[in-house]
Amino acid sequence: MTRRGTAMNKNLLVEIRDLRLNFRTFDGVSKVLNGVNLKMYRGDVLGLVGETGCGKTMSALSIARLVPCPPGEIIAGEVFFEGEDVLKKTNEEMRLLRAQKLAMIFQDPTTSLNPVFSIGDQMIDIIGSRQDTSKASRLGMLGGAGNLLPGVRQLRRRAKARALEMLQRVGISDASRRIDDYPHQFSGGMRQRVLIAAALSGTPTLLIADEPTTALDVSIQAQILRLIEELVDELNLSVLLITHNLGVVAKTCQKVAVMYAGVVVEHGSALDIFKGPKHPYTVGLMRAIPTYGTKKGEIEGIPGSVPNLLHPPLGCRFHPRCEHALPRCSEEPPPPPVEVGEGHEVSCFLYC
Amino acid sequence: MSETLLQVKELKKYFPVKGGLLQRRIGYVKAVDGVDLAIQEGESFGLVGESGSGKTTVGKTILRLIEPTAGKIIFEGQNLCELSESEMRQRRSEMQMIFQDPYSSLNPRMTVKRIVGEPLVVHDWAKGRALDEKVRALIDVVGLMEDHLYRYPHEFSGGQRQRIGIARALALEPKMLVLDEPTSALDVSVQAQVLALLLHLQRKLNLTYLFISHDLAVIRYICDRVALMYQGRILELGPVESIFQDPLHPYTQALLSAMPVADPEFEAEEIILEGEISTLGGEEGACRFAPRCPSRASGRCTGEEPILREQEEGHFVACHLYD
Repeated sequence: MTRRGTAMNKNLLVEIRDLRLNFRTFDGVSKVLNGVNLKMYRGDVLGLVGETGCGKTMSALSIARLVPCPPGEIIAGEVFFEGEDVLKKTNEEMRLLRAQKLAMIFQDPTTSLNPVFSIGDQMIDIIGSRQDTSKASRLGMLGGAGNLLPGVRQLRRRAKARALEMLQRVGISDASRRIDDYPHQFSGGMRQRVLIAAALSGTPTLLIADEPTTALDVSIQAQILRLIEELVDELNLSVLLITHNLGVVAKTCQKVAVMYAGVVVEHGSALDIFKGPKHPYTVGLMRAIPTYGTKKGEIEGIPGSVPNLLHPPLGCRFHPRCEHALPRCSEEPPPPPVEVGEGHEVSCFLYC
Repeated sequence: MSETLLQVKELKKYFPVKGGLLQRRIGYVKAVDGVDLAIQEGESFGLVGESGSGKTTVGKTILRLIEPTAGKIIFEGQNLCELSESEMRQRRSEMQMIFQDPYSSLNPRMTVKRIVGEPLVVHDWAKGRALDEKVRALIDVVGLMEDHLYRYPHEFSGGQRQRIGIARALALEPKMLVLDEPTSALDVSVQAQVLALLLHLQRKLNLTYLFISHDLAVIRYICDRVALMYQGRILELGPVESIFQDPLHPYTQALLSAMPVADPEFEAEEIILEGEISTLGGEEGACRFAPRCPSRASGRCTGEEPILREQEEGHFVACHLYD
């Protein structure tokens, strides 16, 4: 039955069903994801929001099957990408999928680039691994002995042309000269552009952007967000944007999923989430951010703090901080998502 | 009109850049290059800017945690730059600092009780039972419990640690707090708790805040007046409402338009600045913002450094467009 559901809807790009992920640590088992449900359609720009440690990055990494196992351990659940369960694929199939369909950019552009190779070399390596899958020629991509093989040299030239094209596209001025520069010669914003260029050098259908602008200044953030928006239109991408900045979400995303302590508590259109939040956590989150016209003393936090996932509260993980908690919230696991509006689903007993 | 508590005049801080084989000085980074401001008693003064604009350096030089290269820092009529180390240490009890990262600013080997009580011991203000009582009162003021006293920092969440930092800063009953990005490391729901606490404390203890942040929404929420810094200089200064409703400087306009608003229906024309802030400081005798300025007016922008002038009441701007 589960298979049929995905096969029927061609527009469904990603579907995560009841994903449960544990991490083994020295202190015990941390229950990081506790039944994540998430759907993404083609063309969606979906914002995944939540506080530190709520599992937004782990949910996204599991789409690319990049969660480190061990210490991670997927207990239950399915992750479909374009209708296929990625958890059942072989490593080589996964590598191809990542190379050709998935693009990822991360928060810290400094640590995502290797400091001892020029950005050109790194991009050529990435592009080469996307185009050709035979190991021998991939090894040749970094230069050295591989250059002796004429076929490899040609591939390398083609990859370099592609790298240049992408660097120009993301707005690196004087790209033909800068392609031989090293990461430390670029500023933070420029490094993020290089990473975007490298990530999009294949023909991805999904871009996973994990806090892409958190390390950047406001004016640089605006540049990068605009670049992502342009590329989305141009390359027909779907984007999963992970962030804790609600302002960025409101500006870039049409759909929003809110996570709390390893569960997607609410998802819907950006308008639904910002204007008519339903889950008590989302309501609290919206009340906690100052916006235009907020007066002193008007914002309030959510009392308490995020639970320790080694010993998460029983029942709904938000109930100890929830002002509307019912007796059953601390006893029963939270209900499956309930539709409260078109495409607007909440996982909360208040709406059952 | 309340009195001026702190006045900063022509403050400069140049950091030497060393290089070459003999590590000789090859230049300067002009982190702060001529900043003037006055903070009134009881107000919250915001200092905004992007990374590398020199806002943190201003905060630290005011407390003389970094020695200024030039300029005057007048606190309650006394120039702090002329004080000796030990006199300064006494004065510092009246102005305390709260740091961005609540993880690295608390000693992991001390209990909360010792952390909060340490300033009192160092300044010889209280001992024994009196110390104990004071620490308990401080813990209560910032919303922590008595049974937290014997725990260590790692047992607390980020928001609680920031509360410990606030309690420690309040121990010496300061008149002024310099808050350097106090909520940047916190999650939104916790940030709101800490902001609420800061507002409450200010009202209760009549504190003066110098609030340093890059988060314009937080500054707007908490501050009365705000100054925008760019490459070590103030480009615009004025009451919060006037700056946010009617920004004059092209940099302020661009920055405000680039600030993402948490409202999907919010539509505004976005001014996207080209280029990036240079950390080496601006050129001599030119507006520092000129290379990125979308509305560069004339040759004057590259030929003459604009000075801060009053444009509307209390609203100052340093830009040749308004000369």
